Amino acid sequence: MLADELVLEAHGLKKIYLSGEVQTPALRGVDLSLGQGEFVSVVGPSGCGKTTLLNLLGGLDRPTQGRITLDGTRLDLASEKELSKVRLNNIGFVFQAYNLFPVLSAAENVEYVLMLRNVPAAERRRKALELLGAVGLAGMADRRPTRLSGGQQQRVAVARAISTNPRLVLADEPTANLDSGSAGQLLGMMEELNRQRGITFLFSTHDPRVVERAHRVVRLRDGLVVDDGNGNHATV
Amino acid sequence: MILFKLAWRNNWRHRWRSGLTAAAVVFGLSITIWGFCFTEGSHEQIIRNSVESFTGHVQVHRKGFHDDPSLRKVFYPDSQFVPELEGGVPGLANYSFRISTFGLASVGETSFAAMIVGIQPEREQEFIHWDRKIEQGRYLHPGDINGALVGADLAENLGIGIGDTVIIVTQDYYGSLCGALRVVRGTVRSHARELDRGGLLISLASAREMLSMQGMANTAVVMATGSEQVPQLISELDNRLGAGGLEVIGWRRIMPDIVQAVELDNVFGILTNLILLLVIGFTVLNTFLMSVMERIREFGIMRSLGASPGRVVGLIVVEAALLVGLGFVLANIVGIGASVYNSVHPLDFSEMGGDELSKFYGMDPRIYTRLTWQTLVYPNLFVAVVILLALIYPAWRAARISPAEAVSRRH
Amino acid sequence: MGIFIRIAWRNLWRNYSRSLIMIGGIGVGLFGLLVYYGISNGFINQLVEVSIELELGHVQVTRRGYYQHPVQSNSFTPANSLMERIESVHGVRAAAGRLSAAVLVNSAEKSNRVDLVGIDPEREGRVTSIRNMIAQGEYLGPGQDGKIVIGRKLAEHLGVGLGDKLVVMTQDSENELQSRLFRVGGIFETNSPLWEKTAAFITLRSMRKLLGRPLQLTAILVRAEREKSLEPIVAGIDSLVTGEGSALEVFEWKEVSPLLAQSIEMFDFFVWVFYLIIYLAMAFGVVNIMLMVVLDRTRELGVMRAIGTTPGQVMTMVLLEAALLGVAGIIVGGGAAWLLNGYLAANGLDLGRWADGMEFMGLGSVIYPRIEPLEWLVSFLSAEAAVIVSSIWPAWRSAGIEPVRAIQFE
Repeated sequence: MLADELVLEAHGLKKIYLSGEVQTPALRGVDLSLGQGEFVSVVGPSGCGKTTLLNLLGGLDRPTQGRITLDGTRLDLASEKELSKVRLNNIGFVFQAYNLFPVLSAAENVEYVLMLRNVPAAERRRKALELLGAVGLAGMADRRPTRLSGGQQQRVAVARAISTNPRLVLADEPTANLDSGSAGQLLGMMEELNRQRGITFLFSTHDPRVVERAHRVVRLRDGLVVDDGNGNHATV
Repeated sequence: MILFKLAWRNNWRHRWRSGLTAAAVVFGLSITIWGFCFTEGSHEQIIRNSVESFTGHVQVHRKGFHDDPSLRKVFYPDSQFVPELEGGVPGLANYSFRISTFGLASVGETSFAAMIVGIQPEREQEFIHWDRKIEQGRYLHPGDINGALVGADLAENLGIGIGDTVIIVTQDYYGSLCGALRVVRGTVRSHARELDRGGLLISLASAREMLSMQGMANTAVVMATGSEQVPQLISELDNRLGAGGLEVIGWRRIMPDIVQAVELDNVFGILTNLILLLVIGFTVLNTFLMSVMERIREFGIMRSLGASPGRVVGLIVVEAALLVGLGFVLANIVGIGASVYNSVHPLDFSEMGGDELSKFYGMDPRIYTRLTWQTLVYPNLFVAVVILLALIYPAWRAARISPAEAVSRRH
Repeated sequence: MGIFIRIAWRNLWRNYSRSLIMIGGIGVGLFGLLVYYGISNGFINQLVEVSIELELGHVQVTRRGYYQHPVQSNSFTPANSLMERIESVHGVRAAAGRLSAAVLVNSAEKSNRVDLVGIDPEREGRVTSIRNMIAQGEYLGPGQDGKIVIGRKLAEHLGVGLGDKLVVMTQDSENELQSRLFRVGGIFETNSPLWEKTAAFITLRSMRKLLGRPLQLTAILVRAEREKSLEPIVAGIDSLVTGEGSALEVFEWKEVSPLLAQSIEMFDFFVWVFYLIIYLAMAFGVVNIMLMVVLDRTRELGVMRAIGTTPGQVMTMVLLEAALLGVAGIIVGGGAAWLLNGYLAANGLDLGRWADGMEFMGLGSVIYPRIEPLEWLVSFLSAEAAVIVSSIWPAWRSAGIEPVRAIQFE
């Protein structure tokens, strides 16, 4: 685990939304670096720009201004196709609303991403089952999402997110729809994956119990970083 | 008013879907209107060509001639027909007498079997307007006992020219062989199949002489003042002539083949249009069912606020009526526009190489569309029925929405 | 790809009422198209069959210009053993000579124009099907020079039956009027009322005697082994007859009958227009439903994009869903059409109610719809193509869905 190696580096991120004539600045110049194997949470009141930040870092959206470098790739300059590739190979996503594909079983949801990476079918199935085991859903591989609880669905989402061995997993309010028991379990599992596999986690939350578990807490307010926590890589 | 506003906005909320649905109705209905006008135009042409250029609206024969024609079944116009019509017959425009039979005709080395028709040149000119149908040469002059006209296709096939002498051989009234020489004065393009392909016209006087049938005729061709007068004219003539052993028949009985061909073509036309309209109907059904299904919550809330099921259905129906109504208006504009255009600028099938075919059907290769109230009302009626059918299930589904269902169903 | 198909297939059944409606729309459209096509084809086949089987054979040899002026003086005298040499051309099954003239036929009371054909009974039997159509009495045999074979309709019209006398009147080669007595030896029935009313047959020998043309023919009819690819046969026979320096020409049946060729063309044109219209009508429904699909699943498609699915893959998935919808519609509509068409092909579609009308169109009143295997295939493929092409635009829109949609609209 090389804590010194940088996975992600963002510099001077600005994002301004235009709705009609009105300009709404969501981010007003954010700098952030994430090292290999970090377990970081972004916190702040709603509307502070957490989701926008995660979208930009994950290559889902483009900054109005600023640089984002992920594993040596400049996301702010990348083409749509390159972004797809980066999202597929380097980043895993976990969404607040789970966002599993309802027509696919738990295992197939995981397999889907592997399929996008051209993993052979047999290998896909084996890997999916292994990952579901790792998130504690060994017996539920063939269930459709509608037959899983919220916590279980979110664990499938995590399995899906880490299936491609990404350097970074971005999770936007992953526990917001879960009860506290499930939330705790999910977090424990994420911590475990972080420790065992060295995957960098960045999750947004406003749940104090979740914040407690983070190794580093980045606080956002009004589109600016007001506190970069106790991490080694706090920037100016 | 607020219901209309609500309905309009709901349609607008899904403008793509609404637009496509209205467009589908416009497409289906305008094509159907145009199609009906086209078929009507072509049918009217076939029938008019036959009636006006040869058959007449009504024919009178000796009883039994129509079912089993024979040269012996004749009548005497001067005693059996003309006197009975004294005082005028309502709806009758004109009439003339003919003798028709089959015979062998030869020109030079070429012989052919022909339908020989003796006509009264001056009288027929008044309502058949033969002179307009002359393709080459000229019409028979009054008193031209020696002249003959031949069908244009017949002349073309056999290489008959103006001035050629035709030798006619046939059986006369008494069954003996008889013959005559006639000179070709012109060729006739009437669009009546049997005449163009095998007809030989001579004057009635010359036919009577050749066939030893002085004073006789086997057919009276009668023209009505308009095609709508035909039924009354038939019964009026029947009243006056029936007792004298004559039989009066209308064009529908004279040419049942054409009447049936037209009928059959109509059946096929309706069936093919029905297929088109059913496909459109499925699209309409889809749109309205989806619009009900995705608003179960909304309708449930309306119901829990005290709206009756009828009110919910009413909203759906008004929405549909607005959308489909728009489609109907546009479709009629497009359909009528296209039909009116093609009633002035006909479709020309001769460019597609359809001239042999149109000759076979006794038509002009240029087909004019014809807009009548039927060609307008029926397509609109068909589409309305199809759309009403498509609305039944969505409306029924909407009426069944209960407030409880709406609440239990999460978006 | 497998998983995309699986996703597309399962998505199809998420909103099954919507999918079923669309399948119904495609099915009804295709059903109508195929049934219409089968019947149209049945009409045409009947015309073609009557032409080939009774009137023209596959290939004809005539004197140049005969079909512009089909009169007896346009006849020719075939060279010795021409028949045998034609029959030795590769692909030719048999050849038969005919001598035809338009004549007047008189019974005791009535007369009618008839196309009288002198045939070589033995050869004719190998080329056309007249022999098989005799319903009463018998086909012409050697030595039966005083017999005439006529159609049922003509017999009714003239009021004659088997053994009755008919007088044939015509002009001979010297322009002299000839009339000769024949007895009705056979009555044939066909599916072509027009033909039944206007054709009659006597032996070639008595026809030649009647017309005073002892060696002449107006046409040689040739039957090929196979109906397709008549061109080599035409070329083969052509080289035979032009070698003699004679004024003969060789035709395929299609060229001889412009009316038939135009009928086929016109039917083809109407079928083509009908297909186009129905496919366009289907397109409205397909675009409509696929747009609904894409709008309904905006977020799901956004998630797909977020986790690395390319726009092309998203588009593929939407197109696959439409393609499956098309396949289901084709199975339903094609299957129903298959059943109805099969039933009608076996039992015939009886339009006897409009028998006179059918006759006006030159047709018998029972139609046997026919669709060749290749035509089924083309219809299915074209319907599928129409569905897929119609959904390109919705699929294009789906490819444009941005990955941020995964997060928004919660």
